[in-house]
Amino acid sequence: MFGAKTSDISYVMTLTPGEAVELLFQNLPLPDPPGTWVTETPNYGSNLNNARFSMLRYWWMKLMYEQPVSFREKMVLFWHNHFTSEATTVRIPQHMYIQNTLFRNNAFGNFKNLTKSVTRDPAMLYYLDGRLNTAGSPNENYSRELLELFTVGIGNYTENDIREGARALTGWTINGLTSQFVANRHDNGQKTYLGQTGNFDDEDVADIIFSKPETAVFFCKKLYRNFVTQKDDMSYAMPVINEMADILRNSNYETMPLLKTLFKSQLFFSENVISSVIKSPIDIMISSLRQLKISLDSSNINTHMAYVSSQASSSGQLLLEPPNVQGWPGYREWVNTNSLPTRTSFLESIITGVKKDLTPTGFSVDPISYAMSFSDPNDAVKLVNEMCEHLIRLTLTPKQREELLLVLLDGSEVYDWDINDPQAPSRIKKFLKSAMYLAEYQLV
Amino acid sequence: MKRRDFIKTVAVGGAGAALTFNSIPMKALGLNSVAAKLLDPFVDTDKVLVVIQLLGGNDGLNTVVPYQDSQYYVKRPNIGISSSSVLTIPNSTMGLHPALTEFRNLMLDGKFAVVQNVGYPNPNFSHFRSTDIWHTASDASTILTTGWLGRYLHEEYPNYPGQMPNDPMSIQIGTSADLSLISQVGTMALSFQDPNQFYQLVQGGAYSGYERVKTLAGDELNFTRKVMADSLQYATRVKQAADNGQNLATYPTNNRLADQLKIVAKLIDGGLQTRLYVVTLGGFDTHSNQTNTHLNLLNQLNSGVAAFMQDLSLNNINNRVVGMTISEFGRRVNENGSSGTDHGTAAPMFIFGDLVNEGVYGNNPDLINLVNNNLIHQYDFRQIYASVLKQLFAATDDELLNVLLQQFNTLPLIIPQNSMPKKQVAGEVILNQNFPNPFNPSTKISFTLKQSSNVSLKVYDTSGRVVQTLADGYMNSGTYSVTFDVTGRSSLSSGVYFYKLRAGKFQDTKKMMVVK
Repeated sequence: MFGAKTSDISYVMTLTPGEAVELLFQNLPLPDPPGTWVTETPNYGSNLNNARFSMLRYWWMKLMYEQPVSFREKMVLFWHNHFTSEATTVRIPQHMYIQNTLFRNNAFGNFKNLTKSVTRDPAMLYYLDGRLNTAGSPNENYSRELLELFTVGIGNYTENDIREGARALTGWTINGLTSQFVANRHDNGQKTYLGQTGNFDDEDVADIIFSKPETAVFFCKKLYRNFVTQKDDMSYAMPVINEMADILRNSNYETMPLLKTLFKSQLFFSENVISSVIKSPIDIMISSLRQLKISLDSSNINTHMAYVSSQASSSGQLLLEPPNVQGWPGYREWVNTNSLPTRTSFLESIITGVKKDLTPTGFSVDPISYAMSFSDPNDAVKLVNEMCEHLIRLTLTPKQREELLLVLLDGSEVYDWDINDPQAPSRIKKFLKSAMYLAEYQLV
Repeated sequence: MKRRDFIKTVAVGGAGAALTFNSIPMKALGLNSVAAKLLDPFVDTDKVLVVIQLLGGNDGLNTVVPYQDSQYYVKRPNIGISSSSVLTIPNSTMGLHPALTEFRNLMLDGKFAVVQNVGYPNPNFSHFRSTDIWHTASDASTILTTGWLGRYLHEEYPNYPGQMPNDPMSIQIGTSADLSLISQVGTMALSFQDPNQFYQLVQGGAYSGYERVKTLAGDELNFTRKVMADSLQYATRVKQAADNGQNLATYPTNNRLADQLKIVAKLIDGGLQTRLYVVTLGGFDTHSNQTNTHLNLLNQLNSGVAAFMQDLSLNNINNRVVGMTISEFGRRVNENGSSGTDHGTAAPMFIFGDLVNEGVYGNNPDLINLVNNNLIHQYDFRQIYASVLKQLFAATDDELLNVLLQQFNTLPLIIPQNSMPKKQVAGEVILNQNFPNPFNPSTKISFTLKQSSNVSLKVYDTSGRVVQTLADGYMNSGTYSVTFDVTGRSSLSSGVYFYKLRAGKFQDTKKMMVVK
């Protein structure tokens, strides 16, 4: 999930590790849609579409921000970044909502079934031109990305497979909010696809793809890079990835058993890989709001989310608008001389309540309430240690904690620290700024 | 001796007695200009390369159109550019897309070159893999993690990040920094969207450096800290340049490429010593209904480049800048059933600027002899890279080999520039060779200012440390002479030193030798 509140942590500490993992995968009801417009007939010319895309974006960010202990929204974002679609190309917010809901319904679902659904998803049929792919005049766009980016990965197919796959995928179009199969647009000829020959259709294409062992390996590499560590050279991790791929294939592509195993594994918590994933802009921004227990006034929630979204966008991640069909590359590309100061200035703004342009954010941390959620807020040393542990996954060095303690004390002595002191709020804010400006805070 | 080995040797020996005059290897002395360039952490060239990336795979055949080839219309019955609307190219049977009016004017002015059929062997049809191949300058079958521009900058700034050059080595306008700009030591690029916003953002951002954790997380921490150090180091310089520089041309609005080029022109004019800029225009993946989309994109390219070129001329910096377009591939010769084109292979590249040798290079695309309906490339894109580095930046053959990893034949695309061209171009300031030289214990350095300006004259050792500041402050026009004296400075060993004069936008560096 996107950042843990202190209350989440106190609760989870009462559970066994196994129970805690189960909690992450709890079955949650679907949220109410962002508006009644989601069932309206699509209108490509509507001047409401852009505003609705924003509504959809803020609605999703609110779900991330408000979620209970659950891994669901993280997986929705994972799928959005795997089976990408760009709102600008899709143009119909209803279609993007339907796709987003498909991902939420299948957040821990079956990868193979989800692939089949995505092939017929209206947003995808628009985004990668499947709607234009017809018998006699195939369009290769979806066929290529299905193999290259969504399933087996580069090196496991030929250009001919792409051409033949496009023929098999013909016939699907968009009809209003849903997709439909138009039989006379489908190519009924024989196709040779990934070594098999027959009169294949889109389901056959997926079945053939998922009969290839490479599909699970490709997908597990992606999961590993997302949730474990992102180093470019993955050869060192191949034994683990192959083990993950076996679990995925043995469960016939159900993702939940694999994810649970991964999160219970020693590997996941091992010293070598821990906290080596760079947070995405959405991750760092939503999780900082959650960690600091910042409450956003619900009557202004869209204004607040618009600010968060603009900062995430300046840092390179506007939800519903991945840069291209490959999605956000993530890893070190999240951090550059532009995005890093943007990320840190956002953190500063939610601590001080003032944006970089000196206008108010309209919300900020309540430093006393935050400090009071720890075991002994009147013990400065304990408080610093516990706040560091809560905010940063890596264990800070004694020297770092010592320096942060000095920031909190702000010239006073450790025995003088008193949470009721009038200076305490500003000192806690200074501490938070220093702690969250550490490079360590940039890592998950 | 390899150049990098040479640096290492010098770096190790530099502090001790190894660099006495008599013991400097003759070979090194013979490499004087190269050595100076290598050892000076502030390598000087006033030339600038602007790379324009057309992301998505630009349709080459509808950009530079074989309108006299009937096969073109056979294979593109719906989306072919009609022969009546193409813009003719002098001395060529190819034509330009009707949006490219200003490109044609640049051709008539002799400032524009087209290289036809650029690609590489065993073409890859994936956007991402092919973009990586173009960025890393690798063979299709080789995966590299460093980029061609990054490796080139590493040749020029071998001491980075230990020593940070005064100005960013390269700038990418946007929210990211590409693989092309990654070197052996990490990214060589500063990226930002707007100089003033960037400056604002960085203000107040402190970033503490702590010892490295020896895990994967430790690598990421070091990486993150280095990026923050770059931001902090360069934000002020970039803002100064943006404040000093001016845009004298009118740029088109609602044009994402023009917005970026406008910033680039301003920074160059403002005196930023950055030699590489990368800008991007996306949306070229025209699988369906491409006619209007492609027209709109080429309009942006055409008017953005035109305004940029005009701006350079009005600012009198047009003899310093060369632009180049790249795109990961061209598109299929046959149109598809959705009035678009699928991924293809070779396509034309554009090189423009006052220093360009104009013309259309290469044969017209052969629309008959195809491989799976795709063009066979004539030039390897790395030939163009080699030509630009060699001709614009005077890269040596050794350097080219280090950057491009193989030898490539060049094309005469650019009027060859000297390695220290600034001495010939600038006229505002003259920095003279010190006299006597070699010297002990003192020497005189003289220089002439034609305009009053802020001046600094500093002496550096071979590892880039400032040994002494000889002048620093506002000076009136005139001729000055200052003395550099090593008397009593036992820490200064015999060997090579550099003195660098900065006066306003101008800077020059010369070498001198102390013999004790």
